[in-house]
Amino acid sequence: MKELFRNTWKNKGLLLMALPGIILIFMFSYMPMFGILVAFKDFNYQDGIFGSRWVGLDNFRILFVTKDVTLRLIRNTVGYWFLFMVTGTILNVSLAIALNECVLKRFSKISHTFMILPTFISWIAVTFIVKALLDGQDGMLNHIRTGLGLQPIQWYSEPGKWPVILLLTNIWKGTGYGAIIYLSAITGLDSEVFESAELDGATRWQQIRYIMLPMLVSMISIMTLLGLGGIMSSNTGLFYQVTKNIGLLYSTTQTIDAYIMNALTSGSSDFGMSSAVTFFQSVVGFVMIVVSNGIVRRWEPDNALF
Amino acid sequence: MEAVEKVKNTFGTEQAERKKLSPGQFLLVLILGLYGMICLLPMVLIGIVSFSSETSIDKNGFSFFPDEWSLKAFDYVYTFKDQLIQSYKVTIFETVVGTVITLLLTGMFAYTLSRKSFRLRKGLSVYLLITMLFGGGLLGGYLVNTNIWKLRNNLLVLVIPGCVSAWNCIIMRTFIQSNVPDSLIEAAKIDGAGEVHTFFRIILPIMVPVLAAIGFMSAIGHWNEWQTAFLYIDNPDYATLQLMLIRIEKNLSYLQERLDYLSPKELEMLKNAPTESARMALLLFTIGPVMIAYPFFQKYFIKGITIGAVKG
Repeated sequence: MKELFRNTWKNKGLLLMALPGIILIFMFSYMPMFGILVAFKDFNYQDGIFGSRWVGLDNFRILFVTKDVTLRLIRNTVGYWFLFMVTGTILNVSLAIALNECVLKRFSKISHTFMILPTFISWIAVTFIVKALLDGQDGMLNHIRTGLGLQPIQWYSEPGKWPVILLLTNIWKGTGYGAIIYLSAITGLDSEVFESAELDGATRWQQIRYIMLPMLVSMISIMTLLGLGGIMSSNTGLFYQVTKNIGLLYSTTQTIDAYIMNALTSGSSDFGMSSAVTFFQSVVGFVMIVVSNGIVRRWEPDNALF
Repeated sequence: MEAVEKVKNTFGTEQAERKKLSPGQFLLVLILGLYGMICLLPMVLIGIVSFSSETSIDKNGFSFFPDEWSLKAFDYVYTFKDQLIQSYKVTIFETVVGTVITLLLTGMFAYTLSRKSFRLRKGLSVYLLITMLFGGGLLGGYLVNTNIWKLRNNLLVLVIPGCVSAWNCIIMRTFIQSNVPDSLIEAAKIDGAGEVHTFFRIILPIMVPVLAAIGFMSAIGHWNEWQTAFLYIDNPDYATLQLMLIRIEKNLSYLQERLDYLSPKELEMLKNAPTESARMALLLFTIGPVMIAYPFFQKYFIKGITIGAVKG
């Protein structure tokens, strides 16, 4: 202990440099952890987070009373996470392989540049674009439909259509970017293996199927496992903005974060259910990260977070 | 323009090489080209709609081929210029200040984590790691920021929370560890340089690649940020570009939903509300800078992602 103090005093310059980070992390990462203690309180603004009255598990009772909503939120959050994870991984890897296989290198680079663009467009812009396509009156799709003699569809009042809309939006926004990391992994693979396979008469398909994919498996698994920590989180840009937070669509589009976003912006200060959901979300996220990190550490210790 | 030239060149060489392309390669080129277009076209649509006349939108909806072109939308943008300029200022403030603070504080923190002779670094690593495991979610952050730190309608809320993130610290620390030899720091020490001096004069210049990568991502993140502004900012003087767009959409849909019950004043508001093409023109102004900056920075952030991928 004394040694630690002496070392710290000797390195007080370093401590000084770390200090702003230490303080800000405390203010904006640690304090919010205490903030969700309101899950056990009857929160009101006058008494604040620490002054509000403890109510035990009352807030969690609401989760069971409105269990249809609770289950729906969990189903949507986990369901979309799963859907995006599976399609995302398959498409990211496929696109990376496709870009790598293309013999017109310059063409492959430039088309990839275009594919990454959507990642750098704000979710507000995406909301505008989706609306331009789907708007009941002026939407492009409806005009194409009427042009073909079909009935226009009021997309913003048909919850059944939204899983597909959100999936396509998510693919469009993230695939070009998601491929980067796999593309760099593929470029880093030992080319001699492929050359000798080619000498042995393996076709390009066989090389991809039996050499490249197996070499990517561990990376894919690690990316998936590390993503597992976000199983209870979702992007409010997609689920709150793009859906325009329309009540009619909640059944298939509202995730936990979108629900909380709605609670925060609706002007009410009753955070009972929101805080209980948040607490649940944090605990599940924590467990998932610890478990998945444990698996990664056994497998490839270098890639574990801790 | 450069990009256009590049595309032309590529298509040129493509035509020259097409004879040599196997059917499989041809299909691949077709698919990649098609998907590239799908990614690009919505941005083109935004541009086209903002130059379309309102009558042609009323008639044909949003279309790549409007009946009639018009600059009307930009007349509206001009009448709206005070708010637009103000929002530009706020967004540029958020982007520049946010990015500089992020780089500076993350860099300093990461540097202390990289120093093996610093005994406290183990504790600091754990301190940082815990933030990756557990968080207060949207609600926890919101309550703390509004109730304890009183950051509502304060420009600091756009740049301070989240400026030191665990992930960025790890990326920078890994970069320092693999690019700065211990002997260099020792040598600086022997020359009598203090820690702070060593960091700013010797370490920072070496860190330029990782600073460029994280800086670009952070700048884009701040430019596109909407949630923080949406949650904490009511004052139109502090509205970022993204918030400005959200507000316009919200007001309009509020008026349209109550079309039959509007007061004369509200009807007047609706009449003066931006048309479809005007809103697209405003959107063009908010995504324009990003689209222009992006090709120049592409190689930096690709490097950044790769650095992150091989973290230790």
